[in-house]
Amino acid sequence: MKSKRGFEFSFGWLFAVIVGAVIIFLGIYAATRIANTEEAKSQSFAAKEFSILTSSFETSLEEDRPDTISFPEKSILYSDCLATGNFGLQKLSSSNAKEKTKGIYSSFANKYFFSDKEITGKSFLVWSKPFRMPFKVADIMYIWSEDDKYCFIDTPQSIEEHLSALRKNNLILNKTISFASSYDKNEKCRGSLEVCFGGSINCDINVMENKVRKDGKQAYYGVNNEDYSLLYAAIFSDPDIYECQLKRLMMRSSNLALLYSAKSEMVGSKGCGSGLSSGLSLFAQSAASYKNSEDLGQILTLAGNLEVENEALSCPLF
Amino acid sequence: MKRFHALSSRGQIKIQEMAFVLIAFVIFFALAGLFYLSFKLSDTKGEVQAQRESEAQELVRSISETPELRWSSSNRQCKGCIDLDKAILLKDEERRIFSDLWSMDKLYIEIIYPKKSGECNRIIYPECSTITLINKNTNFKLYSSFVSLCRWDFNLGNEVCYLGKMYASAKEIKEK
Repeated sequence: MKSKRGFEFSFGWLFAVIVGAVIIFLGIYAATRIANTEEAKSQSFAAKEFSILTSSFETSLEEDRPDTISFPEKSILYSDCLATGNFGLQKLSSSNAKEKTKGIYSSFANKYFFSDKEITGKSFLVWSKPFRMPFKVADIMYIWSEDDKYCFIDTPQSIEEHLSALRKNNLILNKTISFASSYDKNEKCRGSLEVCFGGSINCDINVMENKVRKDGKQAYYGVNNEDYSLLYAAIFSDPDIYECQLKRLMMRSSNLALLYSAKSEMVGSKGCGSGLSSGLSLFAQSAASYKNSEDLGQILTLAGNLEVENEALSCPLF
Repeated sequence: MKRFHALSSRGQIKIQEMAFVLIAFVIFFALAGLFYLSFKLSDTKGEVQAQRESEAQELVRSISETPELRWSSSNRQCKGCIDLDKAILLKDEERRIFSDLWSMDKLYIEIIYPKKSGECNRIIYPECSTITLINKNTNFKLYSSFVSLCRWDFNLGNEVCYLGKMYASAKEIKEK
């Protein structure tokens, strides 16, 4: 015979089940949030540490020699740039490549990273070069992942010599491709970003006389930029990052020109007149009104004039 | 009817018990959460501060190469040399913006040899010993490194360099 009483589900039981479920849910939620926060915190520290480590590449002793900074796990570096305030900001964050919990951005007013907006890898190559205008403005840094390969095609000899001296396996120099009519990927360049010199338009990055075409955008690097610092910057970085960092460099150039102008007046009052003050003020104005890389040509010309005048001084300013 | 009243008051007591238990649970978890958060916050603050100190150390090591301070007034390569003329100009009010470049609470240069004294200004320079570029209150350790301090000597028509030290301390985390 079946019992008609069944299971008695008292209020106490119902209450305990609901409250228990809420507590378990809150516990799991809190644990997940704490784990995510811890991950974000460790990623924030990692990005900041990365930036601090790059300071050692800034000194002239390490000039022109790319070096590697490695993470314990495959990670993503997020680079951003803000051209506001007196010097703008370089922003950097990181995340684990699997979990993708992004850390808080660290900001630096005195760093200039030319890179893609997102770089994925375990090891990152950092190559520093001084940027002169004509005085040294900053040490700029090109950052790319060790997993990213660049294949340089039809490279001019001076750049080829420069790149081959770096001895990096992921910078491939290839002279054998012909671009007569059709473009076939050479075996040597497979799986890499092709950087083509000499007017070809079929490559990922096309280097022309005074500009670089990448991701459908043009970045001017200026023909007077003899050490190729801006050419490499345009090749290795996202076009938006390139424009923003160049704007920040111009902001700093302008402020530095005013500092040198003040120095010129100071040393001039003590009998070592340079007469460079007005030229420096003009340069400072031009650099302050810089909008994008199309304005670079005029500023580079002014910088060239300043360099010539400075070299002729008995007590040079810079 | 009596039995119904008895059951109803027992039920009310049970509900009250449950409510008290629930409140106790909430208070317990809130206190535990607060304790955990304050512990983690002070832990994180310590780690951030340690990282800022390592940034200060790194800056002191490399600051002689920063364009605002590096010696560049002669063709002679001088690594690790600071331009005293530029440093004194950076003290001027209109050039205080340069302190935005370095995230520090204290940054100053001291001439160690030849022995001089007093804070530099445009009137007594170069007969003085310290040039303070950033001076905020800080409880943090000062890091230092030896540098060459150079300036153009107009009488000699050549550069003169002194032995000096650069001091920097990390930016303190401000409570809001």
